[in-house]
Amino acid sequence: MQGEALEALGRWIAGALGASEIRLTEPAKMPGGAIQENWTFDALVTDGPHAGTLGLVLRTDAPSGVSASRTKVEEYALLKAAFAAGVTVPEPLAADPAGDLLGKPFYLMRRAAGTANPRTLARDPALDPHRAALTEAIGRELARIHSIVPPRPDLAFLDADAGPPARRRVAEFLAQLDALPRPYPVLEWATRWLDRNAPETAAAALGHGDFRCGNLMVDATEGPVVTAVLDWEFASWSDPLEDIGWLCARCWRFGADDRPVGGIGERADFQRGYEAESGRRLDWAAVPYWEVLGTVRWAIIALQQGERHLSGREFSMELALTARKAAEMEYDLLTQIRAIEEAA
Amino acid sequence: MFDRPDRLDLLLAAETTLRDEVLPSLDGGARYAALMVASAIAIARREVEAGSEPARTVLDAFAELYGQDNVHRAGGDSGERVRSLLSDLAREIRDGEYDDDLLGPVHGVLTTLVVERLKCSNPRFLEASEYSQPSRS
Repeated sequence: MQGEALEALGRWIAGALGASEIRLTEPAKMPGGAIQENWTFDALVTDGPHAGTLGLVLRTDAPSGVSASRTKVEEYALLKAAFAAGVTVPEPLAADPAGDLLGKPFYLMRRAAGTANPRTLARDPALDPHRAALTEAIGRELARIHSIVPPRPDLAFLDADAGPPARRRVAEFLAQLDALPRPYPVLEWATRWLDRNAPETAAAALGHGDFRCGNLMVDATEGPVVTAVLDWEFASWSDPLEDIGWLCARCWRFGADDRPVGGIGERADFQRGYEAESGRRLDWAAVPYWEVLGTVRWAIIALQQGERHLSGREFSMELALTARKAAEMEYDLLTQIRAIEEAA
Repeated sequence: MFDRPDRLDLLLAAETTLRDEVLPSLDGGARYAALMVASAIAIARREVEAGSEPARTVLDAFAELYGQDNVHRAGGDSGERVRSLLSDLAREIRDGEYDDDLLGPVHGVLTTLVVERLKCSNPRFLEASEYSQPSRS
């Protein structure tokens, strides 16, 4: 983005931020994201509430043809709701829902410091002295997300009906398995178990939908502290335990298997933060069901990623290898469900 | 009909050269890409090495569940027979035929299937329950 396009963007941002004048550095595309495009740049803002230098990220759809699960307008609404609930997210600043400026909708947020690197979070020994505090902070973040409860007119695009979240997921899994070209009897088996053991809980709170260490930005220079909870595109009204099961499933520990909360820390630390923030007791005994559900979900996503590669629309060594990880999740499912049944 | 070195020899040569001669000089994104390539070649190499053995092992496990006669009546080569049996089993599970005994013999067949796949795709997972690497996200 250069020249006139950049100037037009600058004028648009100046209008949105109530600035009399604005100067932008050239936007640089941030790495990753087959579905999203994130552009980072600085703005020198004259006048208005944001006067000064402002680090910005502009987020829009990538031209890949892979459709995002939420529109940029919906993502912006989720980010605003989360920001208002005190969740540590990049402050949402403005949106162009009509897509007039770039030919596609986008929104603008403040750039958060830190990095989202799951391997560092799970494996860096330098983090070890800080793991208890970090895990407790993560518990607080998730509790703040779960403080957002229906009904919410600003989040009307989220499916409010649909019955118990576990049953909704089971129905989704069966449809997704039907859409895959090969049979996956282990995933059928695990989904059957999920169906027969589904808790009849309500969709009582906003679920982030992808709350794991790869979507937590952490600034290690001071603290370390959580600087942003990212990627809100999978949010839905759900059972709050679904996020906790996803975070704690063994497949998201990045090799740090002895740290059950996302490879980052201990359950007790997470629980302390979550309970202090929510004022509600966390029932760990109900979490293994949701860990199984999360493991099935990730296995199916992995297989879908392989199909994206095989479709020819999105050649990717990484997507191809990800599909072959599904067997790892399947093995865990056979082990986990047996352990749950034997303990019962 | 092809000449020597055969496909397994070629895969082994590619894997070894990549690991010993190419990878040490790479870093960053190129190293990550090369690690993924090494991982892909290793999976393909192990599958070629294993030949039809994994399919036979899975067929034996199916024979435990369905009875010897039923498994061998499925026809075709061992790979095709496994595919057709997996399809049947998936449908039966969904129809609830194993609901009363999800941890029974069906669990054994499914475990054999996954173990045979993991021996090729990630043998370390079976040894140490270690998820495959590299992975970025």
